[in-house]
Amino acid sequence: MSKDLPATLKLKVISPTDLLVDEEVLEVSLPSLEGYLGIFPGHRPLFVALGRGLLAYKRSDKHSELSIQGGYAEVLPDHVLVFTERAKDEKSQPTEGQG
Amino acid sequence: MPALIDLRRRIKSVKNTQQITQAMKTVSTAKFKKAQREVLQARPYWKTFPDFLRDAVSLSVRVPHPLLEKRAEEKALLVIITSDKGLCGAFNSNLLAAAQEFYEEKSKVCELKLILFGKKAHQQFNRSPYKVERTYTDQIQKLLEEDLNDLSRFLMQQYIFCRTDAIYVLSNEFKSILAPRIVLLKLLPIEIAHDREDQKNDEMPVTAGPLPDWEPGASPILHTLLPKYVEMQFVHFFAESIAAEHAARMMAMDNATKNAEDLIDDLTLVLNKIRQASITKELLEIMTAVEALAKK
Repeated sequence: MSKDLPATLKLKVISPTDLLVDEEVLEVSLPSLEGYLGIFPGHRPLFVALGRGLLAYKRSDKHSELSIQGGYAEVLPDHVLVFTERAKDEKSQPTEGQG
Repeated sequence: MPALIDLRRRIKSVKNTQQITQAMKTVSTAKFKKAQREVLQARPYWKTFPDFLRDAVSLSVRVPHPLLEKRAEEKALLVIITSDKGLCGAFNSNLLAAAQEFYEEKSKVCELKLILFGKKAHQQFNRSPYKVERTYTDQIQKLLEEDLNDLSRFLMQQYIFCRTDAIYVLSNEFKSILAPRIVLLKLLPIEIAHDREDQKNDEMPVTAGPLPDWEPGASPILHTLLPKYVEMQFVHFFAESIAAEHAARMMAMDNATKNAEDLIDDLTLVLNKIRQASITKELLEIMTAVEALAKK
Protein backbone atom coordinates (compact mmCIF):
# COMPACT_ATOMS: atom_id res chain seq x y z
CA MET A 1 0.00 0.00 0.00
CA SER A 2 1.90 3.03 -1.18
CA LYS A 3 0.18 6.00 0.28
CA ASP A 4 1.64 9.43 0.59
CA LEU A 5 1.77 10.05 4.26
CA PRO A 6 1.00 13.62 5.23
CA ALA A 7 3.93 15.50 6.73
CA THR A 8 1.93 17.31 9.36
CA LEU A 9 -1.25 16.96 11.38
CA LYS A 10 -3.88 19.63 11.68
CA LEU A 11 -4.54 19.82 15.41
CA LYS A 12 -7.72 21.45 16.69
CA VAL A 13 -8.41 21.54 20.41
CA ILE A 14 -11.87 22.91 21.19
CA SER A 15 -13.33 23.52 24.63
CA PRO A 16 -16.91 24.66 25.34
CA THR A 17 -15.67 28.18 26.02
CA ASP A 18 -12.77 28.56 23.66
CA LEU A 19 -10.86 27.36 20.62
CA LEU A 20 -7.65 26.40 22.41
CA VAL A 21 -5.38 25.26 19.60
CA ASP A 22 -5.69 25.39 15.82
CA GLU A 23 -2.40 24.71 14.05
CA GLU A 24 -0.26 22.38 11.98
CA VAL A 25 1.83 20.10 14.18
CA LEU A 26 4.30 17.26 13.77
CA GLU A 27 3.31 15.15 16.73
CA VAL A 28 0.58 15.02 19.36
CA SER A 29 0.43 13.16 22.62
CA LEU A 30 -3.05 12.54 24.04
CA PRO A 31 -3.88 11.44 27.58
CA SER A 32 -6.23 8.51 26.94
CA LEU A 33 -7.97 6.68 29.75
CA GLU A 34 -5.31 4.00 29.75
CA GLY A 35 -2.18 6.06 29.30
CA TYR A 36 -0.62 8.43 26.83
CA LEU A 37 -1.02 7.91 23.09
CA GLY A 38 1.51 9.34 20.67
CA ILE A 39 0.00 10.38 17.35
CA PHE A 40 2.10 10.98 14.25
CA PRO A 41 0.89 12.02 10.79
CA GLY A 42 -0.66 9.12 8.92
CA HIS A 43 -2.14 7.48 12.00
CA ARG A 44 -4.98 5.01 11.60
CA PRO A 45 -8.44 6.52 12.12
CA LEU A 46 -9.16 6.38 15.84
CA PHE A 47 -11.78 7.57 18.27
CA VAL A 48 -10.50 7.89 21.78
CA ALA A 49 -11.92 8.95 25.13
CA LEU A 50 -9.57 11.19 27.07
CA GLY A 51 -8.77 11.34 30.74
CA ARG A 52 -7.08 13.93 32.86
CA GLY A 53 -3.55 14.87 31.91
CA LEU A 54 -1.29 16.83 29.63
CA LEU A 55 -1.99 17.18 25.96
CA ALA A 56 1.39 17.82 24.34
CA TYR A 57 2.13 18.74 20.75
CA LYS A 58 5.24 19.54 18.76
CA ARG A 59 5.68 22.05 16.00
CA SER A 60 8.91 22.35 14.02
CA ASP A 61 10.44 24.73 16.53
CA LYS A 62 8.42 24.53 19.71
CA HIS A 63 7.01 22.02 22.09
CA SER A 64 3.78 23.01 23.86
CA GLU A 65 1.44 21.37 26.27
CA LEU A 66 -1.80 22.12 27.98
CA SER A 67 -3.54 20.50 30.87
CA ILE A 68 -6.95 19.04 30.10
CA GLN A 69 -9.60 17.03 31.86
CA GLY A 70 -11.65 14.49 29.97
CA GLY A 71 -13.11 14.69 26.51
CA TYR A 72 -12.92 12.92 23.18
CA ALA A 73 -10.62 12.97 20.24
CA GLU A 74 -11.01 11.96 16.63
CA VAL A 75 -7.80 11.00 14.89
CA LEU A 76 -7.55 10.82 11.11
CA PRO A 77 -4.36 10.46 9.03
CA ASP A 78 -4.08 14.21 8.51
CA HIS A 79 -5.94 15.75 11.40
CA VAL A 80 -6.67 15.44 15.10
CA LEU A 81 -9.81 16.96 16.54
CA VAL A 82 -10.02 17.17 20.32
CA PHE A 83 -13.08 18.14 22.36
CA THR A 84 -12.05 18.75 25.90
CA GLU A 85 -12.10 21.05 28.85
CA ARG A 86 -9.13 22.91 30.16
CA ALA A 87 -8.29 21.66 33.63
CA LYS A 88 -9.69 24.10 36.16
CA ASP A 89 -6.66 24.34 38.44
CA GLU A 90 -4.40 25.07 35.49
CA LYS A 91 -6.48 27.88 34.12
CA SER A 92 -4.35 30.71 35.46
CA GLN A 93 -1.01 29.21 34.45
CA PRO A 94 0.19 30.13 30.98
CA THR A 95 0.93 27.11 28.85
CA GLU A 96 4.47 26.71 27.74
CA GLY A 97 5.49 27.97 24.35
CA GLN A 98 2.18 29.58 23.42
CA GLY A 99 1.87 32.96 21.81
CA MET B 1 -54.74 74.83 20.82
CA PRO B 2 -53.11 73.21 23.87
CA ALA B 3 -51.99 75.39 26.71
CA LEU B 4 -48.30 76.10 27.18
CA ILE B 5 -48.21 74.48 30.59
CA ASP B 6 -49.64 71.23 29.18
CA LEU B 7 -47.02 71.11 26.46
CA ARG B 8 -44.21 71.76 28.93
CA ARG B 9 -45.47 68.90 31.11
CA ARG B 10 -45.70 66.61 28.11
CA ILE B 11 -42.14 67.39 27.02
CA LYS B 12 -40.87 66.79 30.53
CA SER B 13 -42.57 63.42 30.70
CA VAL B 14 -41.21 62.35 27.32
CA LYS B 15 -37.74 63.39 28.46
CA ASN B 16 -38.08 61.20 31.55
CA THR B 17 -39.13 58.25 29.43
CA GLN B 18 -36.19 58.87 27.16
CA GLN B 19 -33.82 58.76 30.11
CA ILE B 20 -35.24 55.41 31.14
CA THR B 21 -34.96 53.89 27.66
CA GLN B 22 -31.45 55.28 27.37
CA ALA B 23 -30.46 53.63 30.66
CA MET B 24 -32.04 50.34 29.61
CA LYS B 25 -30.16 50.48 26.36
CA THR B 26 -26.87 51.02 28.19
CA VAL B 27 -27.57 48.07 30.49
CA SER B 28 -28.53 45.79 27.58
CA THR B 29 -25.45 46.85 25.64
CA ALA B 30 -23.19 45.79 28.50
CA LYS B 31 -25.03 42.49 28.98
CA PHE B 32 -25.14 41.88 25.26
CA LYS B 33 -21.39 42.39 24.85
CA LYS B 34 -20.73 39.75 27.49
CA ALA B 35 -23.26 37.29 26.05
CA GLN B 36 -21.99 37.87 22.53
CA ARG B 37 -18.42 37.20 23.55
CA GLU B 38 -19.43 33.94 25.21
CA VAL B 39 -21.47 32.83 22.21
CA LEU B 40 -18.77 33.66 19.69
CA GLN B 41 -16.08 31.90 21.70
CA ALA B 42 -18.18 28.78 22.14
CA ARG B 43 -19.39 28.57 18.55
CA PRO B 44 -16.46 26.50 17.23
CA TYR B 45 -17.40 23.84 19.80
CA TRP B 46 -21.10 23.91 18.96
CA LYS B 47 -20.47 23.86 15.24
CA THR B 48 -17.87 21.06 15.18
CA PHE B 49 -19.32 18.75 17.81
CA PRO B 50 -22.30 17.64 15.65
CA ASP B 51 -19.91 16.77 12.79
CA PHE B 52 -17.74 14.82 15.19
CA LEU B 53 -20.78 12.96 16.48
CA ARG B 54 -21.94 12.22 12.95
CA ASP B 55 -18.54 10.73 12.11
CA ALA B 56 -18.50 8.74 15.32
CA VAL B 57 -21.97 7.31 14.83
CA SER B 58 -21.68 6.55 11.15
CA LEU B 59 -18.23 4.98 11.52
CA SER B 60 -19.20 2.83 14.45
CA VAL B 61 -20.67 -0.47 13.39
CA ARG B 62 -24.22 0.58 14.26
CA VAL B 63 -23.96 0.53 18.00
CA PRO B 64 -27.58 0.58 19.17
CA HIS B 65 -28.44 3.34 21.60
CA PRO B 66 -31.87 4.38 22.93
CA LEU B 67 -31.27 8.01 21.97
CA LEU B 68 -30.75 7.04 18.34
CA GLU B 69 -33.81 4.86 18.11
CA LYS B 70 -36.52 6.25 15.86
CA ARG B 71 -40.15 5.62 16.71
CA ALA B 72 -43.43 6.61 15.10
CA GLU B 73 -44.38 9.98 16.50
CA GLU B 74 -47.45 9.52 18.61
CA LYS B 75 -46.43 11.74 21.46
CA ALA B 76 -44.09 14.69 21.09
CA LEU B 77 -42.66 17.41 23.29
CA LEU B 78 -42.01 20.97 22.21
CA VAL B 79 -39.58 23.07 24.24
CA ILE B 80 -40.15 26.80 23.78
CA ILE B 81 -37.46 29.18 24.99
CA THR B 82 -38.57 32.79 25.45
CA SER B 83 -37.52 35.56 27.81
CA ASP B 84 -38.92 36.57 31.20
CA LYS B 85 -38.98 40.25 30.44
CA GLY B 86 -40.55 42.18 27.62
CA LEU B 87 -39.47 45.43 25.97
CA CYS B 88 -37.36 43.63 23.43
CA GLY B 89 -39.23 44.25 20.22
CA ALA B 90 -40.53 41.29 18.27
CA PHE B 91 -38.15 38.85 20.00
CA ASN B 92 -40.88 36.92 21.83
CA SER B 93 -43.88 37.58 19.62
CA ASN B 94 -42.23 36.17 16.48
CA LEU B 95 -41.15 33.08 18.36
CA LEU B 96 -44.56 32.56 19.93
CA ALA B 97 -46.23 32.95 16.55
CA ALA B 98 -43.93 30.27 15.16
CA ALA B 99 -44.69 28.07 18.18
CA GLN B 100 -48.42 28.53 17.65
CA GLU B 101 -48.12 27.54 14.02
CA PHE B 102 -46.04 24.48 14.85
CA TYR B 103 -48.49 23.47 17.56
CA GLU B 104 -51.50 23.69 15.30
CA GLU B 105 -49.81 21.67 12.59
CA LYS B 106 -48.32 19.03 14.85
CA SER B 107 -51.24 18.54 17.20
CA LYS B 108 -53.30 17.28 14.26
CA VAL B 109 -51.05 14.25 13.85
CA CYS B 110 -49.83 13.55 17.37
CA GLU B 111 -50.27 14.42 20.99
CA LEU B 112 -48.07 17.44 21.61
CA LYS B 113 -47.05 18.61 25.06
CA LEU B 114 -45.19 21.81 25.82
CA ILE B 115 -42.27 22.67 28.06
CA LEU B 116 -42.11 26.41 28.51
CA PHE B 117 -39.19 28.62 29.42
CA GLY B 118 -39.81 32.26 30.22
CA LYS B 119 -42.82 34.23 31.41
CA LYS B 120 -43.75 35.23 27.89
CA ALA B 121 -44.29 31.64 26.80
CA HIS B 122 -46.18 30.98 30.03
CA GLN B 123 -48.57 33.87 29.41
CA GLN B 124 -49.26 32.67 25.91
CA PHE B 125 -49.66 28.94 26.42
CA ASN B 126 -50.87 28.44 29.96
CA ARG B 127 -54.46 28.09 28.77
CA SER B 128 -56.90 25.26 28.28
CA PRO B 129 -56.24 23.76 24.83
CA TYR B 130 -52.53 23.47 25.45
CA LYS B 131 -51.03 20.65 27.45
CA VAL B 132 -48.11 21.99 29.42
CA GLU B 133 -45.70 19.49 30.88
CA ARG B 134 -43.39 21.87 32.73
CA THR B 135 -42.89 25.61 33.04
CA TYR B 136 -39.84 27.59 34.08
CA THR B 137 -40.52 31.26 34.56
CA ASP B 138 -38.22 32.40 37.30
CA GLN B 139 -34.92 33.93 36.30
CA ILE B 140 -34.22 31.68 33.38
CA GLN B 141 -31.15 33.76 32.62
CA LYS B 142 -29.59 32.64 35.86
CA LEU B 143 -29.95 28.91 35.21
CA LEU B 144 -26.56 27.36 35.68
CA GLU B 145 -25.00 24.79 33.45
CA GLU B 146 -25.78 22.12 36.06
CA ASP B 147 -29.47 23.07 36.02
CA LEU B 148 -29.50 22.84 32.25
CA ASN B 149 -27.78 19.47 32.38
CA ASP B 150 -30.43 18.27 34.83
CA LEU B 151 -33.10 19.43 32.41
CA SER B 152 -31.52 17.67 29.48
CA ARG B 153 -31.24 14.50 31.54
CA PHE B 154 -34.96 14.83 32.31
CA LEU B 155 -35.70 15.14 28.60
CA MET B 156 -33.54 12.15 27.77
CA GLN B 157 -35.34 10.10 30.39
CA GLN B 158 -38.68 11.09 28.91
CA TYR B 159 -37.44 9.84 25.60
CA ILE B 160 -35.74 6.67 26.77
CA PHE B 161 -38.77 5.58 28.82
CA CYS B 162 -41.04 6.14 25.81
CA ARG B 163 -43.07 8.91 27.42
CA THR B 164 -42.46 10.85 24.26
CA ASP B 165 -41.41 9.87 20.76
CA ALA B 166 -39.75 13.11 19.69
CA ILE B 167 -38.51 16.29 21.33
CA TYR B 168 -38.40 19.56 19.42
CA VAL B 169 -36.82 22.80 20.58
CA LEU B 170 -37.92 26.19 19.32
CA SER B 171 -35.71 29.11 20.24
CA ASN B 172 -34.12 32.30 19.02
CA GLU B 173 -30.58 32.13 17.74
CA PHE B 174 -28.32 35.15 17.77
CA LYS B 175 -27.65 35.91 14.12
CA SER B 176 -26.92 39.62 14.06
CA ILE B 177 -27.75 42.61 16.20
CA LEU B 178 -30.57 43.54 13.84
CA ALA B 179 -32.72 40.44 14.12
CA PRO B 180 -32.56 37.01 15.74
CA ARG B 181 -33.20 33.87 13.76
CA ILE B 182 -35.89 31.47 14.87
CA VAL B 183 -34.57 27.91 15.01
CA LEU B 184 -36.62 24.75 15.23
CA LEU B 185 -34.53 21.70 15.98
CA LYS B 186 -35.35 18.09 16.61
CA LEU B 187 -33.38 17.34 19.76
CA LEU B 188 -34.35 13.69 20.13
CA PRO B 189 -34.07 11.19 18.58
CA ILE B 190 -30.61 12.29 17.53
CA GLU B 191 -30.64 12.44 13.78
CA ILE B 192 -27.40 11.86 12.02
CA ALA B 193 -27.26 13.93 8.87
CA HIS B 194 -25.53 11.90 6.21
CA ASP B 195 -23.63 13.64 3.50
CA ARG B 196 -25.57 13.82 0.27
CA GLU B 197 -23.25 11.62 -1.74
CA ASP B 198 -23.25 8.98 0.97
CA GLN B 199 -26.95 8.44 0.80
CA LYS B 200 -26.65 5.83 -1.90
CA ASN B 201 -24.44 3.58 0.14
CA ASP B 202 -25.88 4.33 3.53
CA GLU B 203 -24.16 1.45 5.23
CA MET B 204 -20.70 2.58 4.16
CA PRO B 205 -18.57 4.75 6.43
CA VAL B 206 -18.28 8.45 5.66
CA THR B 207 -14.58 8.42 4.92
CA ALA B 208 -12.87 5.91 2.73
CA GLY B 209 -10.15 3.78 4.20
CA PRO B 210 -9.93 1.47 7.17
CA LEU B 211 -12.58 1.50 9.85
CA PRO B 212 -11.41 3.46 12.86
CA ASP B 213 -10.11 1.97 16.06
CA TRP B 214 -11.93 2.76 19.28
CA GLU B 215 -10.28 3.35 22.60
CA PRO B 216 -11.71 2.04 24.99
CA GLY B 217 -14.39 0.79 22.52
CA ALA B 218 -17.17 2.09 20.30
CA SER B 219 -19.97 1.29 22.67
CA PRO B 220 -18.61 2.98 25.84
CA ILE B 221 -17.62 6.07 23.87
CA LEU B 222 -21.02 6.43 22.21
CA HIS B 223 -22.85 5.80 25.45
CA THR B 224 -21.26 8.86 27.02
CA LEU B 225 -20.97 10.88 23.83
CA LEU B 226 -24.65 10.94 22.92
CA PRO B 227 -25.94 12.31 26.26
CA LYS B 228 -23.08 14.80 26.19
CA TYR B 229 -24.29 15.97 22.80
CA VAL B 230 -27.83 16.55 24.07
CA GLU B 231 -26.52 18.49 27.05
CA MET B 232 -24.33 20.57 24.82
CA GLN B 233 -27.23 21.39 22.52
CA PHE B 234 -29.32 22.56 25.45
CA VAL B 235 -26.61 24.85 26.81
CA HIS B 236 -26.15 26.12 23.29
CA PHE B 237 -29.85 27.02 22.86
CA PHE B 238 -29.91 29.00 26.08
CA ALA B 239 -26.72 30.91 25.43
CA GLU B 240 -27.89 31.85 21.93
CA SER B 241 -31.31 32.84 23.16
CA ILE B 242 -29.88 35.06 25.91
CA ALA B 243 -27.50 36.80 23.52
CA ALA B 244 -30.33 37.32 21.02
CA GLU B 245 -32.60 38.70 23.75
CA HIS B 246 -30.06 41.31 24.84
CA ALA B 247 -29.41 42.26 21.23
CA ALA B 248 -33.15 42.63 20.59
CA ARG B 249 -33.65 44.71 23.72
CA MET B 250 -30.71 46.91 22.82
CA MET B 251 -32.21 47.61 19.41
CA ALA B 252 -35.70 48.18 20.80
CA MET B 253 -34.46 50.62 23.40
CA ASP B 254 -32.30 52.40 20.86
CA ASN B 255 -35.35 52.91 18.66
CA ALA B 256 -37.40 54.06 21.64
CA THR B 257 -34.75 56.64 22.55
CA LYS B 258 -34.69 57.91 18.97
CA ASN B 259 -38.48 58.11 18.83
CA ALA B 260 -38.53 60.06 22.10
CA GLU B 261 -35.99 62.46 20.62
CA ASP B 262 -38.22 63.01 17.55
CA LEU B 263 -41.26 63.50 19.75
CA ILE B 264 -39.43 66.06 21.90
CA ASP B 265 -38.37 67.95 18.75
CA ASP B 266 -41.93 68.04 17.42
CA LEU B 267 -43.39 69.12 20.75
CA THR B 268 -40.75 71.81 21.23
CA LEU B 269 -41.58 73.20 17.80
CA VAL B 270 -45.28 73.43 18.68
CA LEU B 271 -44.40 74.96 22.04
CA ASN B 272 -42.23 77.64 20.44
CA LYS B 273 -44.91 78.44 17.86
CA ILE B 274 -47.55 78.91 20.56
CA ARG B 275 -45.19 81.01 22.66
CA GLN B 276 -44.30 83.17 19.68
CA ALA B 277 -47.98 83.59 18.81
CA SER B 278 -48.80 84.76 22.30
CA ILE B 279 -45.86 87.23 22.29
CA THR B 280 -46.98 88.61 18.91
CA LYS B 281 -50.49 88.92 20.21
CA GLU B 282 -49.37 90.84 23.28
CA LEU B 283 -47.16 93.14 21.16
CA LEU B 284 -50.06 93.85 18.83
CA GLU B 285 -52.24 94.73 21.77
CA ILE B 286 -49.64 97.15 23.13
CA MET B 287 -49.10 98.74 19.69
CA THR B 288 -52.81 99.17 19.16
CA ALA B 289 -53.13 100.73 22.61
CA VAL B 290 -50.24 103.15 21.93
CA GLU B 291 -51.71 104.15 18.56
CA ALA B 292 -55.10 104.70 20.11
CA LEU B 293 -53.56 106.93 22.79
CA ALA B 294 -51.53 108.92 20.21
CA LYS B 295 -54.67 109.66 18.19
CA LYS B 296 -56.33 111.28 21.18
